[in-house]
Amino acid sequence: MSGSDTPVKKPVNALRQAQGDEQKGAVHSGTGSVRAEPVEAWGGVLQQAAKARSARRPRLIAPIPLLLLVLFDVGFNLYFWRIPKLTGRAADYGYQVLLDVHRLEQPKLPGVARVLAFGSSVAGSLDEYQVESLLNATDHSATRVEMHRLLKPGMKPSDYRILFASELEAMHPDLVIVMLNFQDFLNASFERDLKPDVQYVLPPWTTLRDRWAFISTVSGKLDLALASVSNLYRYRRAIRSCVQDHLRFLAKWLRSRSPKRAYGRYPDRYTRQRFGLLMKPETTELEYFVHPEWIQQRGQVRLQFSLGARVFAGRVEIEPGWKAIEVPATAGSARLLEVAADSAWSPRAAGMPDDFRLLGVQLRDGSSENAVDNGLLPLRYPPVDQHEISEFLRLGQTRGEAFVRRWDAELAAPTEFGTRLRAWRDSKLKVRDDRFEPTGEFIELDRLVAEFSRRGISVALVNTPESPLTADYQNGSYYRGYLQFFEQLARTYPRVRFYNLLNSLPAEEFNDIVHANYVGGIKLGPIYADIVRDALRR
Amino acid sequence: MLFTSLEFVAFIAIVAGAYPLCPVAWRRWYLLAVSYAFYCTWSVRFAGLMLIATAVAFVLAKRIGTATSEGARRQSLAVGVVALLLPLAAFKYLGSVSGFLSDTVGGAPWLSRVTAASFVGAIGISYYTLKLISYVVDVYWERMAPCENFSSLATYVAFFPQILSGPIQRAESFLSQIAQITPVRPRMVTSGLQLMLFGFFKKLVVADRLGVPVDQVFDHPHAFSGLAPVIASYLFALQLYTDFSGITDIAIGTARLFGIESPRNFDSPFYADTIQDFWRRWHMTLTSWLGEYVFTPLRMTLRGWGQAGLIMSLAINMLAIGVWHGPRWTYVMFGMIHAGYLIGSTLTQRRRKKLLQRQPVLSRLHTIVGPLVTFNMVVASFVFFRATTLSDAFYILAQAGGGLLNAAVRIAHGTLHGVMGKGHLAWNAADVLIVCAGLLAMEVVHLLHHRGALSRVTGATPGWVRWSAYFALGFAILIWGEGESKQFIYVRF
Repeated sequence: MSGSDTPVKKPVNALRQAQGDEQKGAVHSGTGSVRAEPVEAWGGVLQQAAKARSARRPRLIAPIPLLLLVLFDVGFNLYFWRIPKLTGRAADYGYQVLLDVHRLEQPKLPGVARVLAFGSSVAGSLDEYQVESLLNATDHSATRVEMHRLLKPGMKPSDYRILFASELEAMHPDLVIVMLNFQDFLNASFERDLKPDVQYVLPPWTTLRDRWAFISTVSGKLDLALASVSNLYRYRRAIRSCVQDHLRFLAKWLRSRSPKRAYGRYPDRYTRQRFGLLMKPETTELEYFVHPEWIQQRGQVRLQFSLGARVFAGRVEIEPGWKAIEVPATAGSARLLEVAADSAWSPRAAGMPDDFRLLGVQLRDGSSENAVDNGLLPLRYPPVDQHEISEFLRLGQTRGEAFVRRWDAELAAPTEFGTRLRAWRDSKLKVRDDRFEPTGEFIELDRLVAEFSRRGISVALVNTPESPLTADYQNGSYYRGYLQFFEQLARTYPRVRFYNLLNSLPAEEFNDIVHANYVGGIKLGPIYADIVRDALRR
Repeated sequence: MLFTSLEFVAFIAIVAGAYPLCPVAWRRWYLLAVSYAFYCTWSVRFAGLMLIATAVAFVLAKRIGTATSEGARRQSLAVGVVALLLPLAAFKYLGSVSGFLSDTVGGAPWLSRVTAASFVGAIGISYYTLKLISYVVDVYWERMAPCENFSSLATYVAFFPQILSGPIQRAESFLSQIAQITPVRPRMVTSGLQLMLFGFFKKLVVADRLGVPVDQVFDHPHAFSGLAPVIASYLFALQLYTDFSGITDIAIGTARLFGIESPRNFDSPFYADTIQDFWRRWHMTLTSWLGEYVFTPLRMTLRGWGQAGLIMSLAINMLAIGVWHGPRWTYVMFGMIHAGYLIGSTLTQRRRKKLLQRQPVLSRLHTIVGPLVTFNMVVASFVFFRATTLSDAFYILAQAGGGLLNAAVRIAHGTLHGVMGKGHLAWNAADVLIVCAGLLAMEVVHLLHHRGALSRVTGATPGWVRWSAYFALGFAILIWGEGESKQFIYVRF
């Protein structure tokens, strides 16, 4: 077993001195030893000594790599936000918020009212594309509306106050919708360490100043300080997501060299939001049906038709019924006609309770050769349409009694989800009969609303729906005080309104206690549109 | 202050940046001050303990050096070794003993207080105790003269890059460097920074990522079966190596920023073709320390016993390696397993050698099979090193054996279904890819270094390629470094 082989001053070290530190310049794995190279003749020694002398001569340091790094860092905002996010909105919420903030800071079009909805995970019940589509389709006389949403699970009013302290100036909203939920206020104290997930989206310098006293470690403070001077450091998580998404996409693309085929059509002739049909050469027309419920749910539908990579038509449908479009003739055999809609409609949200699909148009018989839905959509860059809805039902496709049984089973299960559900329920019941004191996050919300009001921005405070299955706490004094607090805010500040949507959805339109599922979200769309209309009118 | 924290990076930037501005004559004091400042970020109380231990070693070594009779020299040595081992025993082992008593005999309040207070904050005590003992023994053996300067010895003991997890440098090697402090050469700074970057990469990108499934399986072994325990066992071997060699690289690199060369601790251990060879390449400073100060004296004492003496010496030496890691039966078992490996290997060495000499085919085969067998033996022993209890370790090994058998049967039947067994490892394709790429990059560097070609390659590489490599490593750390970095495994020893 070799002992320490660090050279002690020995005769050979005179030689090492002459050699300079050439060998020491190496990256060694866990080694501190210096390899003494055998020198065969005095000539070699002299040569090496000369080399060492020349190495010691002062050289011009060329800081080009460092300059490039600085350039890469400083110019980050010029290139990074142009790269599309390849995963849905629910994948990496932080990255999505950063993208949304960046989009919000783009100049507003003249004559357009900008509406910004924000909140914790409960803001997920507001689909900004649906609400925007509803508002712009049905109210032709009013100003056009541009809807935005900022959603970050666990992000509370105190966090949003920091975000807006430095970003609001550039956002220019005309109306803000604050999506509230009792759950966000249960730990009514912001005197806590920042969650890394939330810190990731906040402006670091403002966060550092605002939260200095509550950041317990020097590393935490240094982290924010460094993030405030370097974009690459600040946005490292977003870069990671972006790189990983693109690598994943590349891998999929390399595997997907399959011939073109039909996709996205169900046996009952309904289609998905995106579908492709192999058209017979003699077919020159495509007939499709726009369901009235689709128009009801979205206000309008945009359709894009393409053959190969060429888009040959775009339609905006505001009336339901059968439509037709001429398909250009091309030489050759079967052609793949691809149709993409900007939205889909939910039969279940339209009162057909057993149909959980998200649908597009309906086709006439015989309009295609062999199209059936196989669940696979062809790759597209960017592959995920931001308007696509995630068909996620945590409690399955149950209804009525079966749903309640499933709910009880989930609540009692020794799973992570069950534990979380019980913790939420118990923490609400714990404060049920306490006296309401507006502390912590309530004060932060007050400050936030005051700031909006000072800037002349209208505010809609929306108490988001909760599952009626855990409503025991709602009759208690604490919850009454909680609601009165928002009513008081609405009375205190001009242009502030409070909307209570607490009991707007049945239990089976929730994924848990407070988070509406996609069907619930679609049902809430028209209600949110009404709120925006009402608030803008005032 | 963790080596992977921003605090440490800022600390290094300040202290290493100010070092060249410090007059050469004061640099020893400067290093002493920053080393103690670093240690105080862990515990001020235990910094006092380190100072006292240093003072005891300094005085006793002086007495050994000036004593005129062998008896007095031996007496000072004995007092020194016992006095230095006492705090180690008290702060590292007493907690476990009192915890054991508290659990079995019943909870006297003072016992639980002792259990709670022990070792908390006594970071580095295992490392500096070994340094001090070797110093006193070296003086006794007249390998070196007693250190004349207390500040030099104190700097040697507290030298902050080495205090958390070594390498365990010998006094003579360190003191000779500190006695002749010269301005730090730019090349040394560059190589130090390169090494630090490489160490951060190993730890943050590779080791911490490997740690995720490892922790999953070893923290809840009963939740897994099939191939998961097998995979976790192999991944832990890689995690331990990347973690420990990562911190060693950071330590050696940091020391170079102050012009101090440290000894190497690893030499591609997983390429070792025998178990003896493995211990020549793994945690080299600890094994050489134990070899010199435990094994050799024991072997000399027991030389009259023949083979039995050799077996005893090996067993005690390996048990010492196990117990040095902490007062746990799993470490004892780890040491005993390796004692068994080494005894078996030593006793059959001659016959194997002869056989290989007679059979050239076997000899050629041995170059491939040898490292594979050794690696697998080491992986099996590391299960005891990582498991929380002995029963967990046996369970994991049993599950791993069953999992391999099950996989073989299923594959023979042409199906992969059910090969993974129960439990889902929290690892995705991106993690696998990153770890594979990281390990590949690491091994290329290690291989080049092992062949002595690294300096030639880096010297001949154009600047833009070198800088691209630095940026690639830097970006990998920034983007794929695990955000919530874990403590280095060997810091807790």
